[in-house]
Amino acid sequence: MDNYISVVFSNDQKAFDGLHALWRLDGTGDVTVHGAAVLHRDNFGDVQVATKQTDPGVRTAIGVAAGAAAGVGAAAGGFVGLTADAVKSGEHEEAAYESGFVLQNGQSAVVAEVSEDWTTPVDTAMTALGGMVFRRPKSSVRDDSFDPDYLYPYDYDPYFL
Amino acid sequence: MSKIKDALDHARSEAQDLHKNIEASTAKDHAALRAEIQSTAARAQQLAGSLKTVVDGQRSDAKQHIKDAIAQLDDAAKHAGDVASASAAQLKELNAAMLAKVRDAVQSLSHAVASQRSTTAAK
Repeated sequence: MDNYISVVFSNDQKAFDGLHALWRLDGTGDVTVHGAAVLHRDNFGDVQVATKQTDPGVRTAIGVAAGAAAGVGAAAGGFVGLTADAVKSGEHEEAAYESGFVLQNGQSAVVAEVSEDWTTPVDTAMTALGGMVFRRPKSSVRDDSFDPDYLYPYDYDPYFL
Repeated sequence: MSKIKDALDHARSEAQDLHKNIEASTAKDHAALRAEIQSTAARAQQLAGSLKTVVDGQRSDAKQHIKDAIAQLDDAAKHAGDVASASAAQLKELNAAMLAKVRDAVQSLSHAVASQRSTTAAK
């Protein structure tokens, strides 16, 4: 089953560990990760996408787009999701529905598109790292409302500018 | 079956590597970027060619994902044809277009791998 998952962690380092753990599950064939990225919401409520240290120039631009694509920002009231509709609508209910989780100031999250036959591998690995897993079937997300371009299609060393 | 799986996994890794290279190329200067685009296009074409050999024997959904990847890689490779007379700005646009196509190909191959893994797990 294809799912969009968001795993909320208390800090960046745990989210980085979560990202690597997710890709390790891909490596063992327990799940297939189609793309993943780490997001962080700072104490001012701004959300950033962690870039690769080697190409900050590229991801700065993509990161800005991701802010909209992820349904983040003050206008959305702190909801972090996967779709642009959350921001377009400006409605908290829509944002919560589309995203399924809330990222508090100071928290980080791994956002990913995965194929998984069962949820146990991801839940077990992420819970062990202190993460809280939120999941939505891809089929329930409107095709035109998800922009996955900011998800890296491979593991990377996340870095916040 | 395992040979097909291995070939798919290998192709996915190769496409992921192509994506990394194209992203890294963005910061390069005009001449280096031109050479990099030509090299990437050749690799994309080669990968598309090798994928044609693994289509047979796949389940229909995986087969479709692989065919999509082949088309996307072929599209990416076509961009190299415009490189010779391109300005610096045009080269950056070509690089971005290649990045988008290769990203699509990685996604297609990733879904093909998922389909293959799911079939294997169900047996």
